[in-house]
Amino acid sequence: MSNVNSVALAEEAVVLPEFGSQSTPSGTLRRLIELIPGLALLAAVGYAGKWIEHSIAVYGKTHHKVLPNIEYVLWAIVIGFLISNTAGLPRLFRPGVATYEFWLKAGIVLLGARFLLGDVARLGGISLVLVFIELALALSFMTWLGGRFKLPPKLVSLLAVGSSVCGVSAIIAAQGAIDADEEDSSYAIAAILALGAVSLVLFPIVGHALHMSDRAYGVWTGLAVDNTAEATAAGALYSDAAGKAAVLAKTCRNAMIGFVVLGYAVYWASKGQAAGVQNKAAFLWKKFPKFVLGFLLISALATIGVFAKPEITALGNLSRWAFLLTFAGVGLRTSFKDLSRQGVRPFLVGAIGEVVIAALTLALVFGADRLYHL
Amino acid sequence: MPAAPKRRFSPDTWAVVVALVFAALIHFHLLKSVPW
Repeated sequence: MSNVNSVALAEEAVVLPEFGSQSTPSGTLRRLIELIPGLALLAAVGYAGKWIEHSIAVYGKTHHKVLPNIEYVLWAIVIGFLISNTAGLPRLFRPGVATYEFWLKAGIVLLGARFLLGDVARLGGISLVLVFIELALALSFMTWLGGRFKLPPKLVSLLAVGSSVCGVSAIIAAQGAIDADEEDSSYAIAAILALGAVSLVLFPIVGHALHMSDRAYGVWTGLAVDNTAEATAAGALYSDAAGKAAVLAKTCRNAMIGFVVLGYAVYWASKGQAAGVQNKAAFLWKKFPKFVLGFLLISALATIGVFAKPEITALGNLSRWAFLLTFAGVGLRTSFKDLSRQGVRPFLVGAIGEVVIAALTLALVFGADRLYHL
Repeated sequence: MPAAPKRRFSPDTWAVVVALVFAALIHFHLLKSVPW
């Protein structure tokens, strides 16, 4: 965080109104007003990303052209990057922009509704076993690879989580849980999204070349492509049946997000323990990100059927709006200068990791298909 | 810069509270739908 812009932003604590604090009503009102410009900027940048994604899709449809589906996530981050690295972020906007972490955590809690523990049971035996093997292989390999390339440990964790579980959502969830730098999460998200776009082209080619069955190809896509939208699209590009299998396998991976993030949160919380801490449980509780519990609570409520299907859709959409603000904030708070300092190694690690994970999961799916006829 | 006020709840906790409030609003149909 040596960049001037980033440092200046880091100094702006998340100045949320503290309704339970000793601040005066006028102080609270003043801080609320100070949030407005930055919040408006977050909304404008995020919505611009959504508009660009929509406009490209409409253009492709009306002109009968197959254009790459680049998600609003990437556009929002890119627009944020451009603003923060050209015009810079005036001080007026900083308090509001700094709230992006709040929206991130609220979005994660709401996202819990879309990750049902029951999805794992529905997917059933073989696919579930494959998901567990994929998780173990991907987490281990990415951690090893990141260490070999001497990447920052938290960036390695983000890349490992992103490539093993479910891409951007997992990185965003893990970033808050392990308190990683936004530059690290931008890197990991950019790497996962860039590689996801490549997989849209490469996976169907490989699938056809190997004459894979719809179900085997779909399970492979669900296991190996990181971002849910790209996994679904890569499956659907092959066939409808492959798309359904991809969604099933991918949902199973998504259901693991809470457990993996919980594991990393506990790991990093325990690593941050000072030497003289007497009450380890209290320390861990203090350090532990409460939004993970909120996420699990909403997920459990959805699992036991508290929410009807339209309600789950509404909660999922609400989390996407919260993430819209988050992604804009991630872009606005990251500088090219810091990214260039990191070099190409994170992308290289991401790319090598993805290729190896794709090959390993392909072998797994072939083995399972031969043994159990997927 | 004036000293930051003492916080009773962390932003984390507020995020959970806000999310749960929205979940309740949706569940009890006070918020009918959320378009995307």
